[in-house]
Amino acid sequence: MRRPWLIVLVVVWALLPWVLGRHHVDLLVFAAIYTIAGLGVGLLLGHCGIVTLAQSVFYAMGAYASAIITVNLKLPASLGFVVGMIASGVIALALGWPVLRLTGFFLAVATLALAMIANALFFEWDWLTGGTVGIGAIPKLGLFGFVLDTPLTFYYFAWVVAAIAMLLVHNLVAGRTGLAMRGMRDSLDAARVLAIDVHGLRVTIFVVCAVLGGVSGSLFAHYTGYVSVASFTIDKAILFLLIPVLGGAASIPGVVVGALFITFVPELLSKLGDFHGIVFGLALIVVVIAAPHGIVGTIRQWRKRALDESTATPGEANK
Amino acid sequence: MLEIGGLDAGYGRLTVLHDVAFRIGDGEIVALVGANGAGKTTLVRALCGLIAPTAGRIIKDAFDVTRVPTHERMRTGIAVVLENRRLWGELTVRENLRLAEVNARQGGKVNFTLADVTRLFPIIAERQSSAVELLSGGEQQMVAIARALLMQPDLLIMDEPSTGLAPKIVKEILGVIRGLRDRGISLLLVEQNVGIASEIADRGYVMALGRIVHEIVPGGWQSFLSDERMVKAYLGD
Repeated sequence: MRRPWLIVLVVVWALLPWVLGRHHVDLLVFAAIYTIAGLGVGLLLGHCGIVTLAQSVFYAMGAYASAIITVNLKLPASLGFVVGMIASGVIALALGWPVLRLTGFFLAVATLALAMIANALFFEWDWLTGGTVGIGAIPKLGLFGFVLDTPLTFYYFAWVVAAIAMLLVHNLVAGRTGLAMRGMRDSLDAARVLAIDVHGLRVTIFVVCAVLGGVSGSLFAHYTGYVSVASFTIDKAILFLLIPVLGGAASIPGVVVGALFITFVPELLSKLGDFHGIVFGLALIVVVIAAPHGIVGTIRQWRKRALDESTATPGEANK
Repeated sequence: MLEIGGLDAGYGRLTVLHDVAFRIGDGEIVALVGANGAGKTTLVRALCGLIAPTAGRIIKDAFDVTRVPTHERMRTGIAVVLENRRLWGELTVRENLRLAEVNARQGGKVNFTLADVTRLFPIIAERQSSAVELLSGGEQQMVAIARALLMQPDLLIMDEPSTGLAPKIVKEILGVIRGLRDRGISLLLVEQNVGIASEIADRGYVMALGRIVHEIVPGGWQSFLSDERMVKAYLGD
């Protein structure tokens, strides 16, 4: 095995829910669900330089698709996942094509507007979404005749899905698409004159991000058994953006760290009572200032700097 | 190969190029010279589709590419070495070249392999795993030219390839550029340094204030360079 630490990680991961209390397993399930959504946001932010605040829209679409398909239509849960992914992808294509002509702040604001409009629609279209009442009694997921009705079983399932998502994202980034994305992020003009379809690539990644958001939403619906418009507010969109920002946008482990951060830190701070919101806000500020490249990105930089110092080759860098 | 007529282009409301017209024949090396701010780089950007012209035509091999987006236009056989090279500094030499390879034009008459460009610039083999930002300016220029050649162009546009480089390196690069003609590549060399341009170009155009103000015919470089008044008026030195 090339990476012994990976085995250690898998063993720790497998044993963790047996030593933790139910409440913490619960948080770890959410971390897995948020990791999947955060991977998409990280792709856009870290590799394309695009800030999206619209991930809550696709998270909601996945969740509603699963809820409506299984509760209202009494169809199998797997169909809910598929419909959620397709709906997220199609809507992302239709919205992304015009919106991704924008760049920088304008694009970020446009995605924020999309999230606000979508939230309003989820509220207004209560014949479909149940509005503030929501849709309840979403059935537990079954897998090979085995029902995932405890946090423990869902923990394994959600993290396996998250691992598959990580693998897919890893392959995407490692291949020629990843190279094209890095080229596009670092110099747009250079990418264009190398015949890279910059707009097409941005839209493609936006769609990938949305599909991941959809999967994440479907998992959320089946885990909690209940979805309502309250779960898909702007707060959620900001939370999804925080994941790669805190952990490290261009790094897959960074997204996991970010997802763990946003699930566990507010929980730990809740012991502080009324102040916990303020302290969480301060914690965010501290992380962003102390680790501007995200937690994992900054650790990597330290390591690289330490390596560079031990194997310094002076006189090489010049222009 | 390339024909431009009546081209107006600029940035927003500011029109930089006015009624620009010129042509490049098959296998020709044509220089575009002019002082700083004459509009040379704006012209290069318009030719590549990085800015949209407000009037005029750009015809590549009898194919109107005026409104064709950059990534498709490059597949008609145009490649460009932009001003300041625009390499990806954090990526390695090999990765920079790889991006050109995967996006290259298919089915054109030019066929440059990695081995070909390595023969032209041996530095590419020596430094292939180095991050480009660690290379010297001259080495970076060579990687930029190699990257453009791997796009398999029959027209290569180079914006100020000599800027900031030592005379010895410039000479080496010019030697390579001269040889590209034999591989079926036409060349548009955009240069502020008219001495360099006159060394390798068959013909030339002089640009000032966004217009083509003078054409240098084959064999006409010497008489242009000796006309002190004209050189001073158009090139500012």
